[in-house]
Amino acid sequence: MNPDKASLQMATQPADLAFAARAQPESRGNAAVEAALNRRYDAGFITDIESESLPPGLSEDIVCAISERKGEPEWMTQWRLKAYRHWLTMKSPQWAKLRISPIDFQAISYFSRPKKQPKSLAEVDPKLLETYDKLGVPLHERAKLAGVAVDAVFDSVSVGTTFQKELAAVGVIFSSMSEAIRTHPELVQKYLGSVVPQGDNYFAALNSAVFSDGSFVFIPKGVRCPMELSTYFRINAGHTGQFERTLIIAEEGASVSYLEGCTAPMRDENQLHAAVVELVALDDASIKYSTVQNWYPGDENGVGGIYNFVTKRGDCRGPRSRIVWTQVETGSAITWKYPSVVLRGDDSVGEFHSVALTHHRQQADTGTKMIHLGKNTKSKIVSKGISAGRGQNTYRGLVKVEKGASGARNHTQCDSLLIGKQCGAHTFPYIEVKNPGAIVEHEATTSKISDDQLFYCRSRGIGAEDAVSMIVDGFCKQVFRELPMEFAVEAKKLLEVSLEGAIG
Amino acid sequence: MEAALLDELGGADTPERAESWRYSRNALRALAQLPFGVADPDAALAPEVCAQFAWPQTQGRRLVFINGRLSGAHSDLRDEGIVVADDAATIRIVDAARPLHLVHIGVPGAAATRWQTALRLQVEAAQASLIEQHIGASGAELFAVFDLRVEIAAQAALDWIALSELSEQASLLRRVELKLAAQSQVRRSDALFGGRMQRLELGVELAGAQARLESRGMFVLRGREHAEVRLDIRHQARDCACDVLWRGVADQRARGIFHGGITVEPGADGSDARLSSKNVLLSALAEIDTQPVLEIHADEVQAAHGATVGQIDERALFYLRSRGIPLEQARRMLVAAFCAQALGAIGDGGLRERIDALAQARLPSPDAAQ
Repeated sequence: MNPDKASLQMATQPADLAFAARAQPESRGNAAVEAALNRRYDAGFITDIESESLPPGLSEDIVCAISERKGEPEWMTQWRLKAYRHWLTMKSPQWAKLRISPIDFQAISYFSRPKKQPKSLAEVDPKLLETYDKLGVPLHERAKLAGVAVDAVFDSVSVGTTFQKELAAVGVIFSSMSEAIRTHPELVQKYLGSVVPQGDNYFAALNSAVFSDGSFVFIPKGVRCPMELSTYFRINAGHTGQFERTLIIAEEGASVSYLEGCTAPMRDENQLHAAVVELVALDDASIKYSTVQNWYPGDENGVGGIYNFVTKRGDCRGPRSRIVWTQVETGSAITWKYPSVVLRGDDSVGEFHSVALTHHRQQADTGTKMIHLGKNTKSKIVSKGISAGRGQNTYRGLVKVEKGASGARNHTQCDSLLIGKQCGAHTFPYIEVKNPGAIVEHEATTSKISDDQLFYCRSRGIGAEDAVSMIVDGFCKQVFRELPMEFAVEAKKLLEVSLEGAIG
Repeated sequence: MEAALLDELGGADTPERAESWRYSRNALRALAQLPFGVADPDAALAPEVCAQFAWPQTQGRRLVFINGRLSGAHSDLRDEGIVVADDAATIRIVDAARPLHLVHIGVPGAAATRWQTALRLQVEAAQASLIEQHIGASGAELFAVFDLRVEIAAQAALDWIALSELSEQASLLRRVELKLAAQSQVRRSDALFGGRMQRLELGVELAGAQARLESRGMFVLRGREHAEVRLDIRHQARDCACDVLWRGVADQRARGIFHGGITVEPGADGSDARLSSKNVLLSALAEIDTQPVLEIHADEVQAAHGATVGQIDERALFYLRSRGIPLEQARRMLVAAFCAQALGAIGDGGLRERIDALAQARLPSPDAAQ
């Protein structure tokens, strides 16, 4: 094709539609935006699989029933009951900048699992494998090619964990939480709840009482985990909630990179996902935790979608330890989470890199907490918020420097990009400093994609949609760089799908 | 009495108001436990207190309130551009070339006392200026609550300097509501000194198109002083601008809190909002909490904020020492220069020097350190 023709073709792309639409003051860009904003949610299918669920409702009996189904020891049942009793005394928090329709905790079924319980991966229901295949998660022979160990959680239970033997050979324990409670009770007992106690907050208490499954990772002293570990969470059954619990422990000098992905079918109801993730890094250990969150966001009118209320916290317990959170949040009707780091050990490092995208009527209230307790502790926060449609995006963070944290250093950068007239971008950073030797810096900017930027791209023959995608990609680059390669590709793709045609 | 005071002031009514007292609730609670009597509006002023406000340059345009009530004996108003109405509840600046000097003095009684008052100010002059001064004399505990509503007419401009000098026993809660009509401008410079507990709530509505607010301010705290500044700036119309620059210093066991909230409401396109909050901690027992908040509901917006808490630049310190200036003196110079960044907007040279001197006097002296 001759180059002139190519550029001519590009110019007749939706870019021109958008340009024409912008020229009319009443509907500036709206036509093009409306037309293309109805994005598809690829992971919205339902797997037709026989499942058994506990009846809806929450009581001490239900808590005991969950514990019993999972064949847990007595101490675990008691631990859950303690959390449940504490939860009863708590109230749902109101401080977030979120509109949440009331949650009826008695209407949720707290436990649901596929009927056929496989003994090994070879016995996993083909339908289930097909589900993960469709989602692009390597569970079976494909796993060998991908070189990533996966723990797949389907509704309330783990359906399979790959590469366990290979990992065990170097001493790494990677299993579902239920399995870990059976096989390594001493480790679970020692660390579970040591970072996020049962009564930490309303949703953490609820999770502690009813948590079903999740991953357990233990990297022994001096071991560098030979492959990426990952968990894939899938909600399938209706009228259920998912309450998984993940615990990662890196002993002295150990290091691990862990990835997490999640999807759910399209349903008209709001489903609750209240997870707890605890990370423990001992002396010189390093944990990298990456999330690509793509729960069903609800439709363009805000019907349905997942309520993603998650407590994630890492504890840099030993000197020179390091915890890095990276998140790309594109799904969920409501995202409400603050992956945090307690910098207890001297010279420990905490990092938080986040891209949060809200579209249609999605809401996100997310950020981080960096609690500096040890000397010369360092933290870095990079948060990129993108709001489109009627999306509301809030960064909320706390940087706290306690008296003993001399030489503490924090830098926070927090940028928002607005696409459209009806969206919102908000920034609520809390900075609390009690040590005169600390240096804390916070910077934030909010802007929209400017017409100048778009015009420049168009003058170079780039369609408006590609231009928006390029600008957004550049805006997020700093965060994507932190993601493992496979996830970076997926994250970029997700953003592109989400923002097709969203020209302000 | 104490529960009622806590509820009334501490905002138990909504989660937002309760959250706004997050850092000062304990200070307020401690205050609420004192058995307050009613302050005497006829209390006599000590000569040294009179000297604090009897400036020659504001003669003839001075209104003095003692414990919340206008004092005829100390006020001195001969300017026709200033109208006092509604039994001294409303003041109008209709035409003024020179500043109105508003003085609020808290005079303690024998035991703990409190007073509360409200005032309305209407600015219609094209180029008005106002000096708002709060003095909390030393003596027994004194707690004042001062509500001020200021309306700026279209195309009017106000140059406003607000200064508070409080003793260690004096507490002051100021709630200022400021509303700007189209194309009006306010430039406010604040200096907060001292106080057992002082809190400034400055709510600003940029209600008319092209209204503009410039807010400069500083607090310099020591001892066990506790000061909180809360800005709530709302862009409600097109093409409004706000520019906020605050500096904070806390020494000894003091606690300084800065909250800079800027909201751009739907439809307030063309907004330009800037905020900078920089703070220095001088002691291991002091604390600074800062919170720059942006809420944006429109898309044609330029907004940026920055906040830092830290120490004096080591390189600047080294430079001064290499020029033969002793460490403590160099440190003092740098902190003074840091504060002075917030004073730039004060046009009245005499007043700027006065505030500068007040700030300097509160910094650790080189003699004490040696």
